[in-house]
Amino acid sequence: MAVLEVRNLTIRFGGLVAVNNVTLHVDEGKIVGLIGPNGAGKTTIFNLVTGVYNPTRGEIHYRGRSLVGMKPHQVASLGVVRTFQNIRLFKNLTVYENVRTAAHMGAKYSLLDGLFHTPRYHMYESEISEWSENLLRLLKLDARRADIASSLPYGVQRRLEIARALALRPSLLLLDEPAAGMNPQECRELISFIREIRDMFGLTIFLIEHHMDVAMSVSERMYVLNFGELLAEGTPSEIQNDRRVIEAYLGEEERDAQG
Amino acid sequence: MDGFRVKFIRGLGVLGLSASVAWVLASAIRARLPNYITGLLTVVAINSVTALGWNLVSGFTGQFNLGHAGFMAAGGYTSAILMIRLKWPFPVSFICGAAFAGFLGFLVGFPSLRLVGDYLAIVTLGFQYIILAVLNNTTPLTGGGLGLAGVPFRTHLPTATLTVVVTLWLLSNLVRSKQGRCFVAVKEDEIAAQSVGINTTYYKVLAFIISSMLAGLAGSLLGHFMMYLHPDIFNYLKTIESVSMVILGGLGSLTGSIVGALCITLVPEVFRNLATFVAGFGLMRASDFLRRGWMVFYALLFVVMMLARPRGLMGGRELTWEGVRSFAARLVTLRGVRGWPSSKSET
Ligand SMILES: Nc1ncnc2c1ncn2[C@@H]1O[C@H](COP(=O)(O)OP(=O)(O)OP(=O)(O)O)[C@@H](O)[C@H]1O
Ligand SMILES: [Mg+2]
Repeated sequence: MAVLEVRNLTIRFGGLVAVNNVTLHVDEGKIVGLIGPNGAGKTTIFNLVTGVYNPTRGEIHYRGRSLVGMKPHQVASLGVVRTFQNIRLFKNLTVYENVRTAAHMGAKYSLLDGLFHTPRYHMYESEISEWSENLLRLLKLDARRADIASSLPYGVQRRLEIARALALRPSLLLLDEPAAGMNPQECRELISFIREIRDMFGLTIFLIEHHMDVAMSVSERMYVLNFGELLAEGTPSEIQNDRRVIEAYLGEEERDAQG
Repeated sequence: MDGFRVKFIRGLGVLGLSASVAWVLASAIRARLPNYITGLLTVVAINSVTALGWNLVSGFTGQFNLGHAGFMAAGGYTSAILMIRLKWPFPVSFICGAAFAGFLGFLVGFPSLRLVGDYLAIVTLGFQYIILAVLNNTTPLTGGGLGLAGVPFRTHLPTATLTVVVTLWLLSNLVRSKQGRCFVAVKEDEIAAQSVGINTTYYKVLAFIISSMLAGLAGSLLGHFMMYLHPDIFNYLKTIESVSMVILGGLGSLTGSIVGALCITLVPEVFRNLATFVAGFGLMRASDFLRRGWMVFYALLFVVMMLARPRGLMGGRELTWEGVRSFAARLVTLRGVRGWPSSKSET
């Protein structure tokens, strides 16, 4: 069953058509990759799905429900949670506070409960603190729980951002270039980490990856985007042998070499 | 559930106990010490409430509000007018003043909190000028530029202190709840906050409303203390006063706001008294210098503090009993005091 269905999605920024008539779907429990050269419109697709931008045209359905016109926080509270290409943590808060803050949705109490610390407040707070602790343990962040987020090494910041997203108990996780800036060793670890959390939390994962090899090895299904248009879709091996994809990437490398 | 009920009752117990202690102490001070001291402490208490309000919206939530004095005026005038003209009892007028200020906070906050940084500061400053213009031009109701005299005296030291204790209790609960964490998330990174499902507009407006209500409470306390209100009391300098208190005490530290209110309120008084004292010895030059030069000291205080403790006296942390105890212990054992007391229990 498709968790996420995107149909004929288009967005223009002035004269630029950043995403052009894209149709794709992400099936329950799968890890689906979205690849493409720089500026292809990958992040823009995430921004459209999560309500940061409104599409010029097209539909976005999450479990049969239209996401078009929703605000980012509403999309997140439905269980579609993302990370950012340029990590966005709560920089001055500790690792624990980052996760605990994101777990607010589990705390179903009112402003009055918060002001008076009623039994209801204590009940939900003990639940979310336990949940946050568990999450830190599962993601091997507990040794760093009291560290300030901005002081963490890059790789740990990425892991924390994922932990923070998981604090919402999402069902669809959108990862924007989780391997950016990582060395090959870290990339391999990341690949097994992504599979692990998928199984552990029963997630569906839709991820953007710039590196072909990482995307190939982690994804079960892939979409290739080029200049805002869908170029190809299929299993990693199908994509690997697709002529248009090879051209798009080779073309990019040639441009890079010239530039 | 029982354990949670026990915690709830313990929390109420802390409030009851500190409120009683504060009341008894404040009553004793009022009965025993000179009126001058009592009055000064009352002003410290009123300023603490103002500063706590500003800290919530600007220190915790990161929305720079320059209209705080406008909300004080709204609360102060409402409460005074209800008592004078409608003969409503003080507690009701007091609450209504706060409620009206909170309502204005909602009206101003809802459209303007979409703005960020400088724009929000300008809009809120503009709001404060509008309030003053309204006050100056509604003479039949507010006394206009002549001021509003005959405000009944109701702000005894115990009343003011009690207000501080209750405010502090409620706010410290609030900042340790999901609402408080969402406030801080908004300050830290709005886009990240939205991405984890936080309705940032809601939390900004909420912080703004609570903050304006506190400003309203403080304005009302001030009116019923001075027994007189005038639009000029609530000009932008009044806002800057709260800003200084919060920055001195530390943005995002509740106890810091009280420490800040204490310092900022007392510094000019200390200098005034020193000037009188020095004049008593016939040192007129020195006395004159102290009388006029305290502003220089005031400025220096901030410069030194920004250099030494850029995050405020409390550095964003809270003053707690354990903190005070370990600080005192370190002082006694002369092991050197490296930092100010801090709390690790805060999460
Ligand atoms: N808010 C915006 N206003 C105008 N143009 C935009 C906006 N957001 C994105 N674009 C443009 O849309 C195109 C696609 O950008 P996008 O960030 O989606 O690319 P990407 O595939 O994520 O690339 P990268 O691999 O560099 O992250 C780019 O040309 C970009 O400049
Ligand atoms: Mg991108």
